[in-house]
Amino acid sequence: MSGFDDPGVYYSDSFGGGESIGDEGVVKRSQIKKRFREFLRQFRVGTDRTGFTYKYRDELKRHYTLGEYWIELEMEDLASFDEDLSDCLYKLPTENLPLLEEAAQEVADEVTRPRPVGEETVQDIQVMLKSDAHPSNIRNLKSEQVSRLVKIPGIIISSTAVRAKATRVCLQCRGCRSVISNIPLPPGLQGYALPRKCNTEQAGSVKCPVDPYFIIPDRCLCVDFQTQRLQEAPDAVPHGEMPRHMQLYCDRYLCDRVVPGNRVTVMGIYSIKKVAQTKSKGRDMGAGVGIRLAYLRVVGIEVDTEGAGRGAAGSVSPQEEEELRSLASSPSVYESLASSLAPSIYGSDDLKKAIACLLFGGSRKRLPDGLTRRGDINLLMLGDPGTAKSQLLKFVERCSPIGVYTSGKGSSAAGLTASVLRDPHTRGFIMEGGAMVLADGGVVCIDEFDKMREDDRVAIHEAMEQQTISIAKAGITTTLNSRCSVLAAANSVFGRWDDTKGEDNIDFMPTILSRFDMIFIIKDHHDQQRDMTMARHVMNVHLSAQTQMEGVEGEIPLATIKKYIAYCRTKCGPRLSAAAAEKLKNRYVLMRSGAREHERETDRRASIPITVRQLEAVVRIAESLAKMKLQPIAGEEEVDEALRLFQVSTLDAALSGSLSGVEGFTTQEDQEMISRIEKQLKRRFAIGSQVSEHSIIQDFTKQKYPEHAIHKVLHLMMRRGELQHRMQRKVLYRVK
Amino acid sequence: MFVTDIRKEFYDVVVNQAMALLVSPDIDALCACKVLQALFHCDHVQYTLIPVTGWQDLGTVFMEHKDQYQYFVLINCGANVDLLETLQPEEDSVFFICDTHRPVDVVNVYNDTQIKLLIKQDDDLGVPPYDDIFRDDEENEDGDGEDSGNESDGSTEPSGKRRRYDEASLERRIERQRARREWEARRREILFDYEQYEFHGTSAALLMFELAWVMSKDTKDMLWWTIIGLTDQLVHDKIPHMKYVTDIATLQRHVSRHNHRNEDEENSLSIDCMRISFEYDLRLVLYQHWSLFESICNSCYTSCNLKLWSMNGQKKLQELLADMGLPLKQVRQKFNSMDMTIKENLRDVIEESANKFGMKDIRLQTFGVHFGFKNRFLAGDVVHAAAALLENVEKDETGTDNFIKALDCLSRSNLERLHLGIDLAKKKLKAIQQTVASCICTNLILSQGPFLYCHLMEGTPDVKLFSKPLALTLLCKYLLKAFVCSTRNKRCKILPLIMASPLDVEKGTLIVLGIPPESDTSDKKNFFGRAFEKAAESTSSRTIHDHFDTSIIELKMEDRGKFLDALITLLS
Repeated sequence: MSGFDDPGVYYSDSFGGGESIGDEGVVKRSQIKKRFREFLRQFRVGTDRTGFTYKYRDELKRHYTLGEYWIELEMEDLASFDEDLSDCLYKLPTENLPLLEEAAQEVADEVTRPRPVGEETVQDIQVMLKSDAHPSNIRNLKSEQVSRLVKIPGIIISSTAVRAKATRVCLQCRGCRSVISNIPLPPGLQGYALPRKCNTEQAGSVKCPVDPYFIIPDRCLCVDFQTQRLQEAPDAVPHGEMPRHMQLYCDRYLCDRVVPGNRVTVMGIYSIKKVAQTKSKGRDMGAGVGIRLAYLRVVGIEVDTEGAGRGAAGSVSPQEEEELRSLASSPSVYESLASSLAPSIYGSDDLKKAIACLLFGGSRKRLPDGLTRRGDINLLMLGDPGTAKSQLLKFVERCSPIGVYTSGKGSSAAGLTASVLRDPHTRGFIMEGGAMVLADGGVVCIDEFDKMREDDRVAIHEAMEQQTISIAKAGITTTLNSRCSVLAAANSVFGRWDDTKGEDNIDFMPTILSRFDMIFIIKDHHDQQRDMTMARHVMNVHLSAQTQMEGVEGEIPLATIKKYIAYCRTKCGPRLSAAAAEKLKNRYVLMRSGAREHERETDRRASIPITVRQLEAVVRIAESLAKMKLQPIAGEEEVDEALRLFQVSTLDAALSGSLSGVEGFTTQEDQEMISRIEKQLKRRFAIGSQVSEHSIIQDFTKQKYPEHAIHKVLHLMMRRGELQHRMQRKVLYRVK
Repeated sequence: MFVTDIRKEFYDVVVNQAMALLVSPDIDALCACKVLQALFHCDHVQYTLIPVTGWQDLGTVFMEHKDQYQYFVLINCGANVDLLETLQPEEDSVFFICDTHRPVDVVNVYNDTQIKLLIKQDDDLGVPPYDDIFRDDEENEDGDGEDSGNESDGSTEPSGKRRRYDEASLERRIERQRARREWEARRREILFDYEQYEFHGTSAALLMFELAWVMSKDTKDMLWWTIIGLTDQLVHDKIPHMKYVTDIATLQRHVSRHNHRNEDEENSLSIDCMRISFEYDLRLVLYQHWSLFESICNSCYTSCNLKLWSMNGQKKLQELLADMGLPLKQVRQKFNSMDMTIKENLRDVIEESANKFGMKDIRLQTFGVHFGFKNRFLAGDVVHAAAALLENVEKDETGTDNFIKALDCLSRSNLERLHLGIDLAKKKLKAIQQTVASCICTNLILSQGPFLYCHLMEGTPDVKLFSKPLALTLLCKYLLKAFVCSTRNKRCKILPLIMASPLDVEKGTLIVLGIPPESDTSDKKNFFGRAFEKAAESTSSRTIHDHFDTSIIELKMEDRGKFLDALITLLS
């Protein structure tokens, strides 16, 4: 017979342990398996006071009846049951893990018997491992750890699609048609070389040719697998070095457990594979024979919920749910949530409340015609340096269930939306989602929004209002979802807010400004009393950085906030109540007329405070306030608060003149006047000529045009590059 | 009055009565309380458990409950002051005092009706004979010693009571007055000698366990609590090492008796049963729940001997580890996940290497417990965990809450809490280690002549932690040992240490603690209690002597200077 029938050979020669060859090895293996079985069957937790639970037996049964054929096993439990057993699992995992899985299968067989008709054959059980040990680092994995169990932390940066891998194949000789079935393949990414020669000897027939075998796909046993790339955790990277990567191989139930962006701790077998054949043109082909590439055969993944980025959604246990419900029912949940956001930042109460609204978001609505209205709230912070804007962004990134942080200067349009690139392996085009796609269902925080290039900023227009990203590049035409809120922070044009310059402080296209529901202008006021408290607070933060114990009275811990936000976002989609809608309608009308009065008083065409677009924003804020309390209906109280928030943010900004010029914030008359001035100016001001700015202004004021409108026009033309300052800004030069 | 037959005179008396159980906040008291609770549980005895933090607290608690209860059981509090004077109880209130504080106040000793001292007689008490300190108002001094009746009326208070004199002839009076003066001088001397030093006696838990044993109601749980109680005395350095070894030997006999009992059915003994085993284990704190490296760094013994706060010490530590042949990666790994081949004879390896580095007695007789598959604890680790829970400062919870939590963590069903306590203890030990290192490196310990003095500044990291007596005691002992190891000054090595730490910033108070000099043969007798009292009296500093340990006081921050000056003059 052929030598394929004895699988033990494959175990023994790949690990070279002399003792495990032959009968002795078989005996030892069966003993180990027996111990594993005993462990799974007998391990229990609890004391005689609290009662015992058979941890693994019960879990196995539960999972099996649910049709999930896996269990997770803690190495510490195994070690406390039998240290030798865990030791041999640590040192020879490739050999012992299959034994453990077989043992698990047998135990599963025992605990689920009798099974219903049609399910008599017991399924294979996958055993995942987890350990409490301190993780080591990708950098510290050395050759001595090859084929041992290791535990490493990191961030998943990419993953392939789930593919199938054969565990047992069936070969057929093309010469003599003889079939060899059930050949086990080595696990992981190791290759398998088909036998070169056919061993069956048939007298009289023609000798089979070399390389006669081919695989019969119909008779192979396959499992799912997926490869992922793990990047070193940022805090483990030494100063001045780039993070390193590691390839992960996940199979069966471990596939699609994590998605790119997750912070994970991976338990796996440090394995090696052949270096992929490089297409080197015959140059030192033989040099790299012994060189192997390391990868990790994953046997357990834990997702870290703490820290920034994409945390695990995680299921909420009944106890936690009860806790969250009681939190929601407490009357001051809104205030305590707001005060628990970035407690180290002093003041900015309204801003924090607005950010709380942003984190929860309103309800997304699907209209009967198939279009959707966004429920996410976008927020822009404009302000002086040193007002803790970036700190707030960083905090939001950490406490949002899905958070992506980018900085304006460092992100391009493609990086924010989506890029198309060529896959190095398949040479085909593939698409990779950018920040806004990754943040789908969460918050994208963009710092230094003003430093972004104008055309990069334009790229996110679609994402912000329509919440999709459409791509037509390189033969790929598709639409990606990007249902995320945008929290942006920007400085004013002059670095500091200049009160005398009014709207000049903002250098944003009206199109982008109108997409923000709330715009906060954070000014660094000089006020002795305030400075004093602020200084004391900052001193406290610095001095008590070490002494301060976690958790101040009344604050909700970060982990709870994160969980609560995720819970509310999935469980609750409030609507406005009829009374609240009526109230909002009345207030809306009132505010518009009130604004007209204000205009008359000041005798100035002030910006219009509220339009339909802003009305929608208020609705969203009110909904998010109701969501915070897990209420199904947003009542009048929420509308009041939403209007107040809107008042202190966008309205105040608008009234300070800083937003006039924004589309929707300028009246029709203003718009007409500006275009009239522009036409007249262009007519009188030939291309290539120079006129002093002063004389232009004087000329137009004589014609009873308001001065600020003239400035506006000049500014606009300058921004479009039609005018330029010359001679120490005294003279204007028309370029085109 | 000392109770000779604790079962008859204490347990049988209270077993049918409702009583109040007043427990002081230290681990030994907690353990004693646990043992007693278990006994009461068996006999369905009604009791109210009240934690008391200080004398004032004791007073208020007594006032609240005196109408309700006749019997009061005091654990680890009350023996070292005149309780009748402090509490002014009614005639029918009876106090059972089980206290480790020594010396026992003489009035407590010689009161036969209301004060019953549950204290082992074989301790070296050295109570002065009755005749030397008490004298009846009539001329015949002797005779009434054994008569308990008129004693409790308070006619013979030790100080300052005006006495009636028999109008007799003048000469006889003068003669008698002279004799009286002599007698009083002698009395003062005797009392001074007796009360000068404060120290601790046999653990309260041990006493309670012996009660249980006498009644044949002792269980393994009780035995374990007793072990913890005794270990607490060692950890917080209350008793000399010899005493510890003796008591350990006593307990060892109990342990083997209990283990023996189960041996007949050895095959059926389940892994879930509680097993106490005698261990000759390492003097490393929490190493089974930590990594070996951190445990070595944060243990008082190794850290002080290697002088880990210096660069040299760090190098020495590396040498030590190299000598043991342990790879750094494994040493930093959690103990549970360490390579098994290393763990196998770890204790011997460490002992051998430590011997080379001058740490002769790195191993210590102690006990371990395990039950179930996963739960293994050493007595010392449980003490640290319970103490950390007892003095938890992280959340603003009341002392009572923390007391209950610490009490809970001792029972076997509350393992999560115990693990929580272990985590807290790690934080605490790290804080202590850092504080010691910074104190040594910045020379915060000043020699004041007759004693060393160290003052923790407000704003030092973790200063809040050290406003609690147990943590401060631990820090103090650690600091003194570290100082003794690091200083070259021979004279300084035999000095005691006074430590001050901010207690309440708003009120401007300090907590001040004095500990006796550090030496291997030290009898742990502490004279600071009396000294503090006298210094406070002479300078009229605003102090509060509220703690059951007289060597821990509260002091107004402004009075610190004059208080210290008075202490220096008093002691030099």
